[in-house]
Amino acid sequence: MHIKVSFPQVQYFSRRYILECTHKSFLLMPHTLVDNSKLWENVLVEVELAVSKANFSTWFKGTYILKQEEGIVFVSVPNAFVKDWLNNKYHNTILKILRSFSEQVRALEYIVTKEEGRKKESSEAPRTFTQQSNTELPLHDFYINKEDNLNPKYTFESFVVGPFNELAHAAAQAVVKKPGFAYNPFFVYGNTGLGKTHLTQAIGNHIKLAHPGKKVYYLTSEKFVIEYMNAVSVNSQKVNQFKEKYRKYDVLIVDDIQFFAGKDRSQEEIFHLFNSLYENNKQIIFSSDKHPNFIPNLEERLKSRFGAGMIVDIPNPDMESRLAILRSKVLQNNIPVSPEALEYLASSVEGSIRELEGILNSIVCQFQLKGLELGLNEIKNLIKNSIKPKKMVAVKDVIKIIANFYQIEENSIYDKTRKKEVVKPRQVIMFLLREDFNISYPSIGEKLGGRDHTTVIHSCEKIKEELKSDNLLVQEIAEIRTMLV
Amino acid sequence: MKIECLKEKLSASLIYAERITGKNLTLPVLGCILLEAKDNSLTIRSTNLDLGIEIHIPVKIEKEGAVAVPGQTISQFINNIQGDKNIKLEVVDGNLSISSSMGSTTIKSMSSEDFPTIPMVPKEKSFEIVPGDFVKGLKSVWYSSSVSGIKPELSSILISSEDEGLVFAATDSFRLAEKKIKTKKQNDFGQILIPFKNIPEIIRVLEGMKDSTTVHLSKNQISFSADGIYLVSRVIDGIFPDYKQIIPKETKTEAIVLKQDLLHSLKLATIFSDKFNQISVSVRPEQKVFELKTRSNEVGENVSRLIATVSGEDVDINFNYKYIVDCFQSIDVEAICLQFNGINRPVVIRGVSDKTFMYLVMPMNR
Repeated sequence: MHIKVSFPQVQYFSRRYILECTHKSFLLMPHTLVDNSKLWENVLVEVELAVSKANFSTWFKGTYILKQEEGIVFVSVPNAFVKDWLNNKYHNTILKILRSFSEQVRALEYIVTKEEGRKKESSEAPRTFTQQSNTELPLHDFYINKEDNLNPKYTFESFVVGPFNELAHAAAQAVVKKPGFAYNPFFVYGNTGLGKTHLTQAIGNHIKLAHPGKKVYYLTSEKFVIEYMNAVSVNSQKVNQFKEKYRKYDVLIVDDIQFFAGKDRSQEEIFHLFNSLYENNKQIIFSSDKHPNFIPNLEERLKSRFGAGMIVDIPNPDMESRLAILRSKVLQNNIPVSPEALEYLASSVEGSIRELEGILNSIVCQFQLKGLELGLNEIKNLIKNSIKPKKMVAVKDVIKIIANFYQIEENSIYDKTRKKEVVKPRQVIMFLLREDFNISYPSIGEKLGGRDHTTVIHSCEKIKEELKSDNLLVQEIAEIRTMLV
Repeated sequence: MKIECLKEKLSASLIYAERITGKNLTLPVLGCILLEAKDNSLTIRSTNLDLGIEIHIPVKIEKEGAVAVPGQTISQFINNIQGDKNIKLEVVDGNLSISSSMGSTTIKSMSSEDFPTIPMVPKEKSFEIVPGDFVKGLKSVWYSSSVSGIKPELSSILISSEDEGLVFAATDSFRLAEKKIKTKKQNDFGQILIPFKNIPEIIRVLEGMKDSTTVHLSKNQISFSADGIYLVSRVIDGIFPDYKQIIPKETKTEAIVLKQDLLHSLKLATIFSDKFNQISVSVRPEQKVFELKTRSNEVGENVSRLIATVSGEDVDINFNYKYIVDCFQSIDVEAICLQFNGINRPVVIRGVSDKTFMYLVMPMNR
């Protein structure tokens, strides 16, 4: 008698358990699964009527709908036994019920996934022996996932979006939604320390979440080159292994590809790899510190391929974005820094986010040592040494470099000549002095042979205008800038 | 179903299968062993949804069919009946009836319909192993696994491929064992984590396999097949901690002792150990002293001095003696080498001249 009474309870528990699991999956992927959890709940209610209680709790516990794609419903199951059995025994039943709820459903597939809920069960088990006084081995998890090389700390949640990088961010989101189709290849470039690695790794991490079956792999071009060299130096079998290894990935992320410059054999290999992945609609993501067209010693066929999908630039962050980044970092580290101090930091540390982080870290360190709230003055003192002085350069040097670049006589710049080959370099000099070194118009004019400040203004405007249409000029200026640094 | 078979063969297979039946599961049929007669062979199958086994034995079939029989009952019965070499099994009214010259028996059985299938591991990743070597690898490390189950990675044994063979490792975060086994040619399969609680059954089954065994590996499963036996186990989808980085690269103090001597002294010392199983080790290279000390407030205290070759710095360090004793089963050579690295660093224990086995123990801090 007693046993009979307890049966409904068992069942209640199992149902609730399953619902909890479905709920959990909903939390994991907020964008698609509102319908999925509801749908699966409905299916389970009907399945429960069709099969025995014991069967129900053994085979349907911990299952949920992972995702729906083009009419195929992917159901997550806790282990391969369940997968096999659902496939053999209940496949038609489940499919029929699913169809009755949603007519788009055409097929059903099962995927074995790690079950967080099952872990919870085992963690309740008591430890069987006491070890109060024993120290543990300092074992550390591999922080970086070995299978895909992705660092889990890089996510979109921790990525601060500002006007400077919102295009890159939006494009990355599109890639996550439709890897292989949206923008392929996806090419991000920008100066060092602006979040290229963060963005590309975040794409990888989020694709893993949103599309559990996809194989993602992240590597730097340097690693690719080294691996390729090693493979070549051993034997042809190794080379084949190497080729196969990279062709099996659904999403391949190659960071810092500017290091491929001048490595012809590796370029050839990445070219073939690119073609093979691209043909199979596999997503390819590259990052570099330059636009592909300006990477020196890179083969034309690679440049054109890199440009085939989407190329986005991450420029230097503006003041507001720097402030937003600082705020989010301060919040993460939970340190009290006054708003004025943050604003001061944001305005005085220009350039890379990495630099900004470095300075903030030293502030955190100080705070932990002294345990005080840091005011504006303390911070000013603190970062006195960390801030790079504004670019200081002798105007003469700039003129010399640019004159050399255009292969003209340095003195001709100062002359009154209006020869075409001299006018352009002169205008470029004025433009760069103004843009990069913030020298006032009159003083530029004075230093270039006593010209009027309106001449200088005109020259700057002209170059600015030409930059919009003249790609060659863009390239030249970029090259000159690298020489000036 | 109606068959006739050799009792001995059936009995041996049932012993394997019975241990893998699901105990205390909601689905009663999992406590059964499935017998299926088809195409001149009898398939014996059982699973606890963590491990699964399928054994094929040749039998004489009069009528094909299948039945699920409670595992413990049939296994105990077949093992203990006396008399004929052959026995006859038949399904009558859904129950299994067994007859021999010594009498007849009926075992209440269940329908085979609800009995799950054993998943087949895809043949993509596979390699051959010598069962004896593989078992040796497992046995050398598995006692170091964590019994708690809070971290599934630590409640598993790591098997990974290296250039020269296989590496087995296990740790419960207080000690760590690593064993390398040389194999002829090793495919690179990355790493496998087999749950620790499946290891005894895997060892038992592999010990019964004589020749080369084929291993298939997928993301969720590993299978071993040979001699008509197919064993499949769940593997942990996780990542074993990066243990290589905690293996000390230098040694501050080194002591070499005979294994037997150390074992004897440990046995003496443990009589006087306290409730934390604490044992103190003192090494004084200048005085050529290697001492083990234990003290218990109730029983008394003991100091054992061993003959040892010692070098390096002085060290006084405490251990849980159980962890030290454990590793002796994996060391086949006469002499043991203990390498200390100061009081807060793990001690490395190896067999002298045996590079294949390494054991790390964390000291007790007090």
